[in-house]
Amino acid sequence: MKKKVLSMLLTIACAGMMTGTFGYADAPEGNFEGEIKVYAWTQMATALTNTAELFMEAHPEAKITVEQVDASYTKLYPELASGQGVADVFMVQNTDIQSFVNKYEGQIMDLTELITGEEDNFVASALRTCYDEETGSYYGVPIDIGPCALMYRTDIFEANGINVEEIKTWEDYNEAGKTILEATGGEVKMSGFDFNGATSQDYIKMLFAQQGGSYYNEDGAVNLASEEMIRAAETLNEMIDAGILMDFPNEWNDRITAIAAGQICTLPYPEWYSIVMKDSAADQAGLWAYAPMPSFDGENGNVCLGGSVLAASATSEYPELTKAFIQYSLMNMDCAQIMFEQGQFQAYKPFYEADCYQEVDDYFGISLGETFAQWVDSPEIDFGPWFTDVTEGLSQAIGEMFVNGVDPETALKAGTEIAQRAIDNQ
Amino acid sequence: MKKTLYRKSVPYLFMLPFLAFFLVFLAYPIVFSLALCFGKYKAGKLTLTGLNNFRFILTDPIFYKALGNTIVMMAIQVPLMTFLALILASFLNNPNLKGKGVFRMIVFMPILLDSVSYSIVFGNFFNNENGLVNNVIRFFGGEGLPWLSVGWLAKLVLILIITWRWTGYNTVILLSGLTSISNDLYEAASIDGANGIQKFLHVTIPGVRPVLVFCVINSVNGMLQLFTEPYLLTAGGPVNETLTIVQYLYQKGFKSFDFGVASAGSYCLVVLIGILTYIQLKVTKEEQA
Repeated sequence: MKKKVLSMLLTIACAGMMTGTFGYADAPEGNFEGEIKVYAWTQMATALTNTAELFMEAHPEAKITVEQVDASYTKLYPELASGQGVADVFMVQNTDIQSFVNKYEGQIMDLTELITGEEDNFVASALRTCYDEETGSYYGVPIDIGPCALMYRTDIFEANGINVEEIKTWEDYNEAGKTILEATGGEVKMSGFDFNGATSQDYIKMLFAQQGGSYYNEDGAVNLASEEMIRAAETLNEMIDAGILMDFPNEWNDRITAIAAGQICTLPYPEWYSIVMKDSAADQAGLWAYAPMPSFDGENGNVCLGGSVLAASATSEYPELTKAFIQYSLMNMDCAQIMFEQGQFQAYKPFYEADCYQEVDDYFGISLGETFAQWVDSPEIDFGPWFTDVTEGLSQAIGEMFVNGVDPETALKAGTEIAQRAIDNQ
Repeated sequence: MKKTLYRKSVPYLFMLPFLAFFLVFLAYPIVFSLALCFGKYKAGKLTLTGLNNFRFILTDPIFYKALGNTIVMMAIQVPLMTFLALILASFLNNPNLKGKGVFRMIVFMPILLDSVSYSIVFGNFFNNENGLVNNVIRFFGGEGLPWLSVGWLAKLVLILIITWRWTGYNTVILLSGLTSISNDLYEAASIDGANGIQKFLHVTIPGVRPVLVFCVINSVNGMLQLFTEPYLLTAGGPVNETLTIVQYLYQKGFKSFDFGVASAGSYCLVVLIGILTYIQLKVTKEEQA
């Protein structure tokens, strides 16, 4: 273990020296005594275990235990519900943090002091998710963010004479799709998503967020039938009608299968999917490249999807240590590489200067960090304290629109009612 | 005096570990969820709201959709599976059958698979574009079916895979009932000139009726609480066509954090299961009489 820590320290030291940010300049100073428990899932748990080891090296009186938990909060819910034994620090999806603040009133620690003065260092759309309008406070610190781009098969584009630089709008995208579809005799489609909306609503959410739409109206009531959402739905409908999109009833698995089988040649999706590609389509290394997202206005298609935040328990026995650890892990150059190595595309912009963000990726042949850093500035979306219910209404509407052929406005109005009804009961 | 008290308390002392577990892990959640039915649970505090949660559930079209789906799937799956299990059990009970042990093992094997793994495997089999089933159909010149994108097909897939998993389990239970039927009865029937089918209808079925009732009640309860398979295979889609009651409750409780509505829904389900079980017991009792 000691060796591991030592080698890690050396790596960080080297990275630090190269970027000229060596040292604990950004790390919180002080004497942090106490024992805290941290919950995170998958690679983030590994990343935080590593930052915790470094933190404990610098502050031997602190003891930090990181536990690997599931992303459905099964371990956290009972603790929050009873208000006892709650983990001091826990990972939350950025779409859920406002729900937590609302549902577990008074139980989530106000982390505004960590954000104050650092606002401009965070990707604005990521920071927005942690902000509670009612109290004017921040209840989380953004970890990662999912800047989206158009991932495409260079060989298929080339063979069919498609120049990716000419795909500026979704219309261009649709036309390119038709060309490829015709040239391959229907074998290769542009992309796909779950037309039922049951397993994912990512596609419509991306197209919606791209236009800076809001899930709520001015009075705070749910409004799914907004101009932006209807436009997103109509655009997707045109693509489905053109036959360039596949239906993925089980979106995650079906997409992997379709990519592996060479049935789709593009994927407008977030950066974090690059890890899945390396894992599930390893033999297609060198065939995929990234281009900016197509958009509605043909100019700026930047949009972010996914991402998580670190939140803390208001009942923590060691609030100072808790805050210091969050700050140390997420807002300190020493930890940039640890996070990036675990596939976390940070929401903290100063990290983009770190060496690891410039490294060329073997699979894509470009620097993922550098490439995506230029696309992080995207519209800020207010998920509100009831986003799960909003998503439920949206999921119903998606099925009605893309499977049952109901017109978008009617379906989205019905979805709004479903969501509002569930919210009103709570 | 001391000794008697000691003696009297011994049985209770033996029961204490069980009672403690029962009270903490079963009785307490049951009582607490009953309280949740009548209120809102927020930040560890319960605010009473009367019958609001029940009103919400009983006027929610999605709840009725889930209820309808569950009942339709149950009404097809349970008879189908019980019939298959009965046939398999009779086959395995045949005295002339060689290698009974092996056959019994094969029949029982699906239940040994974890429900999550088999759901995922079948999900791949029935994949619209690249699944084994559609590939086989295409190999023989047919057109692949959109198994998980069309409501009735998705229901059919669920019925098929649940039948695949649970038939063997019920077969083994029915088999235990069959072995208890005396051979004399079959011999007597043979002497009276009964053929195979007649023996099956007039000796086998009446002989296993109590076990059959047990199987049916268990299967009905199982289907009413169906969750894992639709959750993993279809997530309730297409457009709620395979949404089950428990999935609906899960959605309300653990996605929307609306524990009140979820608890109220579970109690509705408890009442439904109670009524159905009562009807089944009543009907079979009358038949026996």
